[in-house]
Amino acid sequence: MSATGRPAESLARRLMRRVRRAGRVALVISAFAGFAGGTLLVWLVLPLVWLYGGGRDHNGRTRACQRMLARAFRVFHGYMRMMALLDARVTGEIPRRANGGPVVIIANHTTLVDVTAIAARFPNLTTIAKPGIAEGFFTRRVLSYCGHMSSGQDAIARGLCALRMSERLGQGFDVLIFPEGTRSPRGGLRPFQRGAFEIACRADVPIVLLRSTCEPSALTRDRAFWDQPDRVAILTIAPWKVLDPRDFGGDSLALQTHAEKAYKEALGLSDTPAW
Amino acid sequence: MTSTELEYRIKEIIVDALQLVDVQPETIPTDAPLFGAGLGLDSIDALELASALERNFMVTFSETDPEMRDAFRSVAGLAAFVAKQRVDVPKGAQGPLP
Repeated sequence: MSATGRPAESLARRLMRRVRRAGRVALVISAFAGFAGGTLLVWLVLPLVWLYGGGRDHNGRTRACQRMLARAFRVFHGYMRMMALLDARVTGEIPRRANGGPVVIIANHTTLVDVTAIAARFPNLTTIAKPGIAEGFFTRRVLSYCGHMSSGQDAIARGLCALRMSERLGQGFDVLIFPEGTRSPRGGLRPFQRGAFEIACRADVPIVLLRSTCEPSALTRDRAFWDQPDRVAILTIAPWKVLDPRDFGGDSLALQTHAEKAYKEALGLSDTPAW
Repeated sequence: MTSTELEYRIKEIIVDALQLVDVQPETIPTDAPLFGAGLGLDSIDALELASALERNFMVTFSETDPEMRDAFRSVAGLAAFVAKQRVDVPKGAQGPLP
């Protein structure tokens, strides 16, 4: 050890860093444990909300359940913000046609909590969840009461899911889809699938593009959920462009190609796949 | 409508809905797989096909029903599903056959 005491200081710093890191891991685990507990609570409460919260109309009941779930998501994100883990900032309004009406919302999929952040801000939307989530014992009830659906395991299930989603638009619900199908690679974009664009074309509704960025990156696909950065991650999600299927002659493939190119330009990516 | 007529009608719907320009209904094998091998249909085709069949036969395909995979396996599977659903539906609620 030198007279300046540097090694001792370094050891202290290392210890502090480890303690701080362990603290953040504990916090993020507590956040997701709270999320699981909240899911259980919502699971218990939703049948009552369904029966008494939204009148007799099926869509009204679905909307009441969606509002309830959105409140739970807001609590979750409030806790994440309070603990300086992740600050989700979903800003702006969803642009619509002059006569209103539903839209298909698409977004690049930066973090594990994009969907909860978006649904907390815009409750009356339905979305597609992976079968592993949508068919879980607790999550199945929660998602189905709120009008969400499973993406299905195969082409047939995915096709039927898309058909039902286009019907949701007819019932006045917005539909949220991540066209990459899963979380984006860090700093990149996966190829878009066509489903969201086909649904929009069939229902003749605009597609609203949301741009999602997270700095520093957190809750990405290549990191364990508890592996948080050392400082608060700022997740920013906002509408930035609207595409109307009418401008593309109802051609879902042209719409898909245009949207994917627009996202690459907006995110500063080349046409070369980034994964 | 006999089962043979129903199968042929489904083949016509497949050709129309999926815009299979070089395929004639009679060339589609009744028992051949529609997805993967066989006709090689994908999820967008499943969407188009299910929508057309629901419109034409006033039936509903449930995405959560495990029987769907069997129903969409082949033309014969679809015909069996449509015939079963039409029997299950009360007569007054059935739509007209095309």
